[in-house]
Amino acid sequence: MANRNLRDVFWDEIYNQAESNQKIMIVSADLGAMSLDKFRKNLPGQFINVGIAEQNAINVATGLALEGYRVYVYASAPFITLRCYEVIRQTIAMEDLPVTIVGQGGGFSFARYGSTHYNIEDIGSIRMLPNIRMYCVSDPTQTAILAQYTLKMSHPAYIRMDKLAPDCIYDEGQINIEKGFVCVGEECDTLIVATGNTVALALNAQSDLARMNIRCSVMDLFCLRPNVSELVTALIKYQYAVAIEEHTISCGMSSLLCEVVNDNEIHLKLKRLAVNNVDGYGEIHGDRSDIEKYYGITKESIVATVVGMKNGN
Amino acid sequence: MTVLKEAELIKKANEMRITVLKMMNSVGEGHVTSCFSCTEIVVALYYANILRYNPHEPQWADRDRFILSKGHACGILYAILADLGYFDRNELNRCSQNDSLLNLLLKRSVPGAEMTTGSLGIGFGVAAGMALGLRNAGGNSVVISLLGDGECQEGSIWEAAMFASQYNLNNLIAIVDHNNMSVTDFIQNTVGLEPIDKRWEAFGWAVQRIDGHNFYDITNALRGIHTREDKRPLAIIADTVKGKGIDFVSNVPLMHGAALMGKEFEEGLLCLVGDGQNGK
Repeated sequence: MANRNLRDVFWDEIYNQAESNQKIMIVSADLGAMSLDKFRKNLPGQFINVGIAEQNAINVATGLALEGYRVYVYASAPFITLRCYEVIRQTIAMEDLPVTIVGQGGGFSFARYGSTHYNIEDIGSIRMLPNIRMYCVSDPTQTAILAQYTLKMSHPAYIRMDKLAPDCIYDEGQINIEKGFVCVGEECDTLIVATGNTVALALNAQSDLARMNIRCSVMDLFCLRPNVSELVTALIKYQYAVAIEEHTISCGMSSLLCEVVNDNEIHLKLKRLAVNNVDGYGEIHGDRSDIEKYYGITKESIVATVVGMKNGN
Repeated sequence: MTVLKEAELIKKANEMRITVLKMMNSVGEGHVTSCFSCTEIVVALYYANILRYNPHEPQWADRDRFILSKGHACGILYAILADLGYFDRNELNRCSQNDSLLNLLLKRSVPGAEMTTGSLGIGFGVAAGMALGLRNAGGNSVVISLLGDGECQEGSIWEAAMFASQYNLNNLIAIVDHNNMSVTDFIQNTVGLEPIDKRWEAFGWAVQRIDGHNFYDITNALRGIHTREDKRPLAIIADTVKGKGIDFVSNVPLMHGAALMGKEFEEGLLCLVGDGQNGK
């Protein structure tokens, strides 16, 4: 049986609750999903399509939240974060309202469409806003648990949803949303930190390195506002770390790690694999793996970086 | 609810202008002229049996919602909310001081305020969301949002306008304070909005155009808003004068955001105390 798309996993969980809770509303900026067809058909009063109008999606969601609704906004990730960034700041962030923004298309999910659809500045942007929790999911189990968690949240959230339908990585017991990350692998001195789709790259690199007799752990940092004390406790076990993400090298997950390492005086040699866009995005066309190769966000880059660090580079 | 007759409304408008003038003077800045263009409108909403509200229970579920989308005019709302007993009048004298309740733009934390506004183009869309939520919940509360005409240059206003008519939000009323001015200039010299009534009509709204300083016009336009049969949302284009009440600040572009200080304050106060006829 084919894997399920992460967004369908998420929306199915929300739908199951919405059937018996009329206070759950979906506000879509003209974005659909197979799993949302049920909402449209069976719960039409709880599914609002505002059209291609992201600012209004956030404003309408805010109004609904102020009237006591639990609101989910669904839109293309680069547009719902950056097009209406200031609107998010003024409304759900500053007012600390229980609105969850589900941004479809994390990182290079829509690589074939080119740079207009790259979503590689969202983590940095949202990280600066008050109150918003942020998640980047990698696995169906994690996504389902997160969906349940958002139904009880009293704060706003942004979920960076990848387009992929990945294999299951985790059992339910491994996921603790409050903690914000999960580690896979035995104790060793080297850590690969990933988020969202790059978790799969990290796990593949972990296997390749094991064949070279280099043991690594993989940390899936799925919450971009993790429990810092838990994160510090986890990081101090390692001497070497490589962070990999489909985000600009400024302000993303790996920058978050740098801040935690610096602010907590952790002795960790940390290298980062992310998008360097200082000189623009380049005119690279192709599928996702082509774009990832161009920016060095690959399994091979992780392996080479780990080997290099171990050799003192 | 406090209900006044027309002559009392005129006096109340004058009293509220004086309160705003003094408040902004004590702060040293503020949007006096933005408040004065919509004084009669906001006074009518609260004192002419239009909005349903309860100062003793600001979050009363069946209240009507007033969203001051042009948050720059919060001074007039503060004056009225204090007058009605939403909070202590002394807060007006403490505006913008350390640890004060009030600031120069509207915060939702102020009793009686529904939404933080000041970044233009946001409050109106929020009002549309509230109208949808209230309708879905089955109540008959209405949402009235006061917009600036300059604010209507924001694209998000028209996103919300399209949305409200598509969803037949006839419990949503937009009042456009059409004072013909924005920050630096007259609107027609920046990006003109006329024919503004036709534009709202084209977006699927029922439209009325009134004199925004005439209480008869304002109350007449808002009569029956809780039992509207027209499925369309209602836009009221209220023609106003920015700075109404004090001639030497009326229609003066550079007065936006300025309080009257020193001799100008004294002269402005004399204009208002002198005749008490604003609103005619």
